[in-house]
Amino acid sequence: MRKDAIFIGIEVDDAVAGDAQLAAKLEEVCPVDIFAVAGGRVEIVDENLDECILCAMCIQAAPQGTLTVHKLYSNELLDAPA
Amino acid sequence: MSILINEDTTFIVQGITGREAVNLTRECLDYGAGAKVVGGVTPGRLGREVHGVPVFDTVKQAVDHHGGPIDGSVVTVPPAFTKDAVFEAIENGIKLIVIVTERIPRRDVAQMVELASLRGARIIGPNCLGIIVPDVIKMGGIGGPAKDAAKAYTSGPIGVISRSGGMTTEMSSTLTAAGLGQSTAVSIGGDAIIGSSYAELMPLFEADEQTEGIVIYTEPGGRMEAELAKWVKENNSRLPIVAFMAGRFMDEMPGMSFGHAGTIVEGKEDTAAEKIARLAEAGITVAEEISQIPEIMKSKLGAPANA
Amino acid sequence: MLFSDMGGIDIEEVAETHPDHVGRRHFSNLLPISDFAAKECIASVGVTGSRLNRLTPILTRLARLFVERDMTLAEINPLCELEDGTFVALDAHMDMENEARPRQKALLHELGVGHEETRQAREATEFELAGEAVDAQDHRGVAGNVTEFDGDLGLVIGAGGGSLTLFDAVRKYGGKPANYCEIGGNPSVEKACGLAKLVLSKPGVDKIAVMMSIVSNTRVDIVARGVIKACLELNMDPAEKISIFRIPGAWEEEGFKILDHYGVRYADRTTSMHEAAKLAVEAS
Ligand code: SF4
Repeated sequence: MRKDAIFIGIEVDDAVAGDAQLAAKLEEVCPVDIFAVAGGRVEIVDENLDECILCAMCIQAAPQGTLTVHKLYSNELLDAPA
Repeated sequence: MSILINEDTTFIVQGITGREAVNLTRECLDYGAGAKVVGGVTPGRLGREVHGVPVFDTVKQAVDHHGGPIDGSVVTVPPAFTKDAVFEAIENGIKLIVIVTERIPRRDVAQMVELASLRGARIIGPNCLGIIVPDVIKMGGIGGPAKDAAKAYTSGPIGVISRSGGMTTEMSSTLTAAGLGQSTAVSIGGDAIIGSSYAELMPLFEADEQTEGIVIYTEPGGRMEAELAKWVKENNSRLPIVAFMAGRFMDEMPGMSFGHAGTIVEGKEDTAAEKIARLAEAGITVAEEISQIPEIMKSKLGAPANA
Repeated sequence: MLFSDMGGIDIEEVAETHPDHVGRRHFSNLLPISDFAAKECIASVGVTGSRLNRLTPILTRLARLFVERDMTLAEINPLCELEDGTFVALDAHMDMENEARPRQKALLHELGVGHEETRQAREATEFELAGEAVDAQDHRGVAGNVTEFDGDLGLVIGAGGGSLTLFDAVRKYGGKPANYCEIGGNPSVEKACGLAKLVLSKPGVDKIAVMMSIVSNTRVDIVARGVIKACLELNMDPAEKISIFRIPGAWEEEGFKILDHYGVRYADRTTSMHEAAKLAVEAS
């Protein structure tokens, strides 16, 4: 699943998007409410996407390689936290 | 050296679990030699940790845990609770209190300042970003994250005192770029009543060997500049002072308040024009633009003493 | 506290022309306010006898009112003496500070002072009210204190001291600001966007200048996103509508990437605030 706003795009691997536990975790960690739980699945909240503060908490919360944050203005991927 | 704080200064953060306070704690721990943040206080949160700093319910617990007097406190609690927090710090022997909180009613501030002076404590703020000794320590959010603060501040001979937190950094950065480092920079707060004014900090800078000159940022409103001018004249200060005055446009709009709460022009003495005249009388140069400050300061520093 | 036996005129004027007719005394805000302070203050201008004893409680109570009601000014002027020796207040002036409004709600209600009545010297304009609404939309940071002016140069500026400096600087270089405002405390993209939209939509405004003193809490990239988003949503070209973007500081590398992508002209800290203001004026 991939969603793009003006500045930020987020892609969640379909293999994990249905994980209710992950959905709840993402909802909790993102400080600007970009993730929500909908019917036990990860949902990306469009209108909050551009508020992303690039903190990488979501990347850290998801299994490695399953969640990517795209900076649409520079064609870069947000790095996972060290 | 520096004024107010140095590498050995210990302090706590009151309201440490708040969002801004968590960031501020991180920044202080990361900057320079790493501040000695010996505890945090948020009632009801005993036993937690914020970036490794233990959290207590009361200041007393923090002092007991530390096992001796604590030098300072950064107060970040909401306005309705600030007075109590500051009283608590003072009554537990803390001598230097930086109040970050904005919008505290004046009566509360007057009471805090009065108690502080009775107990021999000093208040910086309210509505300020704190104190920084470049490359050594910062107490408060001044300069932001350690890597940003390092860009703007360098160690050197200039003392900076500013009614605006952001402008403390802007001016220091301009000084740094011109090769003039800072001994200590103090954001004193933008409210009508504050714990430490220019004139109250001058004796400390005067006594500090590292400091050779002072740069101040000032605004319309209040009598602090008049007091500074008076202090400089009466004490025959060794330190040349360069000032920058923002908000000159407000002279045309009496009764309107812009920027900080303290800026409202209530009487003739409060206007920018009047203040500039008073400062000039005391030999303080008021720069037209911030970028001119380093040159003016350099020429003053180069001039023979007591000229 | 102040006492003068030359009432009826402006106290500042009396203080200048007849300083010996103005008694002044500091009183404690911590201790209960007691009569002796007022008595000393009044006696210092030479008032004695039964007058002194009658005036003392009036000044004491006025001081108490001042403290308890969070006044910034509590003045009775003139206070008149009747033939029987009693005193009557003919006029009085009280100012309460804004910060204390929440805890003086009951009194304000009793006096019929509405929430929108502030000490500002004129009533808020529609533009200013719209600015307040932008600021109120969420609790993250500030994009407010919008004041309308009649010029054509739109300003999206911050923070407290930075805005004052930049506003002066724009005028110094002959610019005519359309507005004053303050960004601070790391506002959301949406808030910065709302503020920029408001200014861009103001009749007569062609371009906006986005400028701040070095930021350490507010993020450069977030403000950049906000102002660019405002242009895009209004179907405007950010490169054309933003005359200059000068916000150095936290997250500037990220912010400059965004500005580069949209071709917006920007400056870092090596361009002074005054230089930036000059560029803004020249571009308008
Ligand atoms: S990087 Fe941070 S702000 Fe952005 S989506 Fe992930 S958790 Fe949310």
